[in-house]
Amino acid sequence: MIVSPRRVRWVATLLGLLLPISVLLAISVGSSGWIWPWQADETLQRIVLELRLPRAIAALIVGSLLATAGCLMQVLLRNPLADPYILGLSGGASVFALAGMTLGISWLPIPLLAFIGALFTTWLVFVLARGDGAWTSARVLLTGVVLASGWGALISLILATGDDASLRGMLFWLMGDLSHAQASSLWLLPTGLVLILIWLRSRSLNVLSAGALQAELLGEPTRLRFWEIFVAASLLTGVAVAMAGAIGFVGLIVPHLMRLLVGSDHRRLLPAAAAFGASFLLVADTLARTLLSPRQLPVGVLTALIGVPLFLILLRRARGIR
Amino acid sequence: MSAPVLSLQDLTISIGTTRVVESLQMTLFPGQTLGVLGPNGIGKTTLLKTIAGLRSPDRGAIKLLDRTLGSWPRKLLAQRLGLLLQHTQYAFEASCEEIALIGRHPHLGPLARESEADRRRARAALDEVGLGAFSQRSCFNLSGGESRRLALASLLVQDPQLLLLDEPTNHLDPAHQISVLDLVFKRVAEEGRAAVMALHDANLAACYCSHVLLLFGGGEWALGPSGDLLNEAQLSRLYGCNIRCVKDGEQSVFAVGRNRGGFA
Repeated sequence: MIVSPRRVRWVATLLGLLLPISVLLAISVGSSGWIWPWQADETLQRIVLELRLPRAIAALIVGSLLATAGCLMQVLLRNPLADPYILGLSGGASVFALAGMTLGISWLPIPLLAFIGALFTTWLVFVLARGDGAWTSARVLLTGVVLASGWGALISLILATGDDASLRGMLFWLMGDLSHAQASSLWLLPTGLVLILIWLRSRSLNVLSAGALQAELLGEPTRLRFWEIFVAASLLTGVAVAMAGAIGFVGLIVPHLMRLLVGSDHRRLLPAAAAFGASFLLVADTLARTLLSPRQLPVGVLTALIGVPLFLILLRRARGIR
Repeated sequence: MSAPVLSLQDLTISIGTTRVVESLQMTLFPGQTLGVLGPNGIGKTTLLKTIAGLRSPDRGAIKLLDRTLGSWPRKLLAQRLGLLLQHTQYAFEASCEEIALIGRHPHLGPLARESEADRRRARAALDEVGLGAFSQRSCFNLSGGESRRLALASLLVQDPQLLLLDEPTNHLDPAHQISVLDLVFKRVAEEGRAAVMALHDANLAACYCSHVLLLFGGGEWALGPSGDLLNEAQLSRLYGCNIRCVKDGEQSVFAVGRNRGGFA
């Protein structure tokens, strides 16, 4: 499928409209039903400003971080099936963050622990998948999947030995939950910088998608670039997990859908994925807190319920997946 | 005579414990095309990758233009030296024009976008390899031969002075083999470039290469003008099978015969 400039403009307009619409939807709907924010009374206005809006902003940020991290892992593996959740990065980030919380290492900030956990997992995946000689993307994916379930077991262990009072909260957070998400400005600054740096490297990402050898022949310092991608993807995942727990499938579906719409050129793909990832997670979170209202679902359950069938359909239709 | 494009001094390369070449001495001048011939797995690709700077030799020096290979900054190197890899695989869907445009990467600043001139160059290269009608088509819908020619278009867009080609005629029908090698030959002869290519077909080497390098295995090699080296005795020894030279007055053709009851 080849992308015309006209189609790119269309998609950009739609994505641009989707963002404010999803925000308006998220702040208008809640346990008290549907009320436009400008018609709300004073109590509701406080709810909108102090609860719904911060949560909406957190959802937008986490969604764009996960989608971008997905794009990066896919370039790294040259495989559209890669994603921080499937490769165990989110799991590693969760275990480190959770260990920090339960062991009470309060002097280390949770986002830093999550970042270290994600980075450690990335390193581990590639070292273990390497074996003798070069890694293949299939081997890396398999190693990642196995590591992810290993982290899952560790998480269960930590939860089983923890106290019952905090169990439900932790469980929700682990499944991906935005109800306690806060956008800590301290961590968003370096994350935003990394995001900008990645966007500036878009053409290099295109060249790296052609393979390490080809990229080297076209003048890219491949090793250095791979490390940059490792660290950047781990940071984005770590910050996202620290904010909202391990939300799966956003990093997989969003880049995939956007590639179908705007093509594989990262100069179009990265902004499109970030924008759509943001709206997608916000809409999913709005559904998660209203579908079974007054009960709230963890948003990760919803993204998985949407993501798994959608992904299987895409997998059957898409070509070039090895 | 102008300065050499490539010179190899005392170059020794091994794969593990197997020698590919031992103390290879070679100088390649503008306008020259070197064909590298040898049986499967003898190290033709390894030699090309070493010259491209993708792996280091055991010993010896490689000089590209006026500097040693290692002292070229990577990006400047990519503007002067390009390698057509034996295999190209596309992980993500893109148009043929986008794939060809990737060759401009080393010529552009980190934040620059491809200009209209770059796009014209990409389309011209696609035209040259006979894929002019494919510029807006997906790289996933190409046959083996078409995708080979697309990779060559990328290399032409990269515009290096030294062209390294690893089996450029793989997957190509005879007409396309000739037109691809014509294209390389023209670039080399008319534009002061030089080419090193791994080939399997001694006839094509005889037609298009000014010089040939034969790799016999165990580090043994022979280098010379193709007219001197491409003969029945050398080729039969090189490949370990009977190869006969048939002359029709205009051209010599190397023919392979069946081993049993053969010509020898």
